Amino acid sequence: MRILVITMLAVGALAMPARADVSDLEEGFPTALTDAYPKEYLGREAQLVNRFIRTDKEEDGFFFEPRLEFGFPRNAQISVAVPFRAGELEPDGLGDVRVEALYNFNQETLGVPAVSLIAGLETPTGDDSEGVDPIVGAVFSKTLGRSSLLHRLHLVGRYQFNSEEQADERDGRYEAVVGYSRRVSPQLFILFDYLREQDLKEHEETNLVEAGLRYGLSPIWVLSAGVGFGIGAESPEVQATVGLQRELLIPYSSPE
Amino acid sequence: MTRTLGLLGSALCLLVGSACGGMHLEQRDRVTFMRGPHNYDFYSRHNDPFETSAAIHFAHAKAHDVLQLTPKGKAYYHDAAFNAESVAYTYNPPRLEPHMELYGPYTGRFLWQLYRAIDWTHVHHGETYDILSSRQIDWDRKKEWTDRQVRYYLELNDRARSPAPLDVTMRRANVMMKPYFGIFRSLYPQSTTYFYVAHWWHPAIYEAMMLGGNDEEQDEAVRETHEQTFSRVFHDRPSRMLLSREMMPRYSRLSPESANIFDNLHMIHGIAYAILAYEGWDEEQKRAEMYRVLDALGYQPGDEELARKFSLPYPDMDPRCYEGWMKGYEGEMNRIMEEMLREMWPGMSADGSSDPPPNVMHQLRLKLSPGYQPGEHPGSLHQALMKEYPQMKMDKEGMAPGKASEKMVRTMIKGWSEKYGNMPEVPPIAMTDEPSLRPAPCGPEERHHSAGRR
Repeated sequence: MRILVITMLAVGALAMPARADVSDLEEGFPTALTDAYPKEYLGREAQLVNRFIRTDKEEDGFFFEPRLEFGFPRNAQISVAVPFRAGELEPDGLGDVRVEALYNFNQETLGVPAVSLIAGLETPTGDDSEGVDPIVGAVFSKTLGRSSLLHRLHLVGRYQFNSEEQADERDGRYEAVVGYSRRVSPQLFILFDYLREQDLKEHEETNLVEAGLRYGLSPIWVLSAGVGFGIGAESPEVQATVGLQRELLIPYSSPE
Repeated sequence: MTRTLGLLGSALCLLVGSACGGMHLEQRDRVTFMRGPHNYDFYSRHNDPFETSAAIHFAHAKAHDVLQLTPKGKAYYHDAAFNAESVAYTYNPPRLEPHMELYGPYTGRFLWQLYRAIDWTHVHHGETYDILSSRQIDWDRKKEWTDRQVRYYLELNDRARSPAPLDVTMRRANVMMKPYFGIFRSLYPQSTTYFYVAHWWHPAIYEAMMLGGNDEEQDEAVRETHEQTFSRVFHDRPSRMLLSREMMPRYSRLSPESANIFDNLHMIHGIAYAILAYEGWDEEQKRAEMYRVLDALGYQPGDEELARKFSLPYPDMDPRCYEGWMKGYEGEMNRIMEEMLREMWPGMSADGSSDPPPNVMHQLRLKLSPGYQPGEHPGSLHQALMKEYPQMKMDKEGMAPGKASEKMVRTMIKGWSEKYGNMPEVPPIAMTDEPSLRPAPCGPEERHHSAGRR
């Protein structure tokens, strides 16, 4: 809880002008839902996910993940994420650093959704972690109807290969998210989703129903907050997330 | 690599099961803004005008879907409603700048390149306001940073608007005899004049900054100009689109490229709205025509050479004064339109006469005025002229979506070259000394007065 409070204070202290895109959904901000659209070419953004988790065993813990995201090359983004866990979550401390890229193939049309592919690597930087695990995935986003409220459906699928399978581990795990987003006001988006993911440990799955808000504080800051409730055994009882995204204004860039 | 990825994308589309065959797939290809010490200084220093800009861009975005999705028979109703909604947004603006898709998602799904062009040029608007607002950029370095932004704008996005004057790009576009020309202005007069106010406001803010310099006088000039938008301009709207050379002569001398880019964007708004409001074409045909016009008003190599080929009708104007010449029909935009019709006329008249008859010119003037005027024929300009002059010769192919009469384009470009090719270039403006704000040179009837302010 202390981390959440610190984050909220930081938001208040740092709020100032920005062009972070409140409509551009990113995994973790504040739910597992992402859309098929990448960051603008040459854009760069610092991100921070702060999450409180109460497990099905009623253990409380915190998860945070600073990330850097770059719009590069055109129609693509690359992100580097460094996760940490604290509290009663095991294992705690530094988790597996992840590098992930998303490439978008198309602007959606009236009939065809936007389609993106995901490729990434998870490196064994955490305790008890072995091997570099490749990640592949796809994202589909489709705007619905004629409304100006930007009603959108999203479908996300990821598969992570377990390159060095340990005892009682799967050889890979999947994650699937189906969700919906829409604009509420010029600065505010709301989103809902259902997440189902496998744990690397055999026979463990998570099912979550999530809801979240994304709010544009200024042209460079987006604040997001969300909550998720687990369904069934092995799923967290509840998790609450506060996310921060800040467009980086350095280094200066221009053709000479 | 890109081709391989494109093939992979097509394969994925087929997997989705949608009808990809025949669909026009394109990439988003959005680009971020140029980083510099000026970033977001307009937001920080002039927040009320920043929010007004956001409100105007809300209206631009939403207009696309309103016009595309509203049946012609309901235009009278939606014009009033949309104008009211846009004015309400301007008086109670959003805090952040929207991109076009945010309020016009339907049109974005079949005219994406239009949104790329508009959003990118709005970024250029924002950054050039930032540069002038920035106290960290000294007055004598404003041009250097503005030029740097112009280069960034032209080089990083292939949908950049042209830095050539509108006189040239409108002749390249050759839209006057298209079946949509005049439709938006006639059917949506209130919305049309809302955007005329917007296109008064945008250059007026630049010019206020040019009068005020970097110090507190800039705040004063911008505040007075901005307040006048609400106290006077919205209540007595311009009846034509004002060009940069009219409303921001000093900024046009500082950066003619940037000034022309804005004219070419503002013209794209008007043409896009007419195409969308026109019911005679389906979405594929509208896209073909819109993308043709985007190319014509877009950046083409060599356009920079023409950037200073315009004159300044009011070089000493003050944006704090809402003067009579800003409101009426007579002005640069309509001069260009009348010139183009005259240049085309020998190829359109039945007897090869060199000048259009007075009744033809009269219909043009009526069609260029917002709403239906007494004596104006309904429909497009072409329909109105055919009623006045039934024997008019028309190039049917040139009227088709996505096509242009190359002969007419050549004729008009030749006409421009003969009239203006050797004109003296508009002179640069000295930026060595920061200007000192003088009292506005206008009487109380032309000027907004804030209580307690000078």
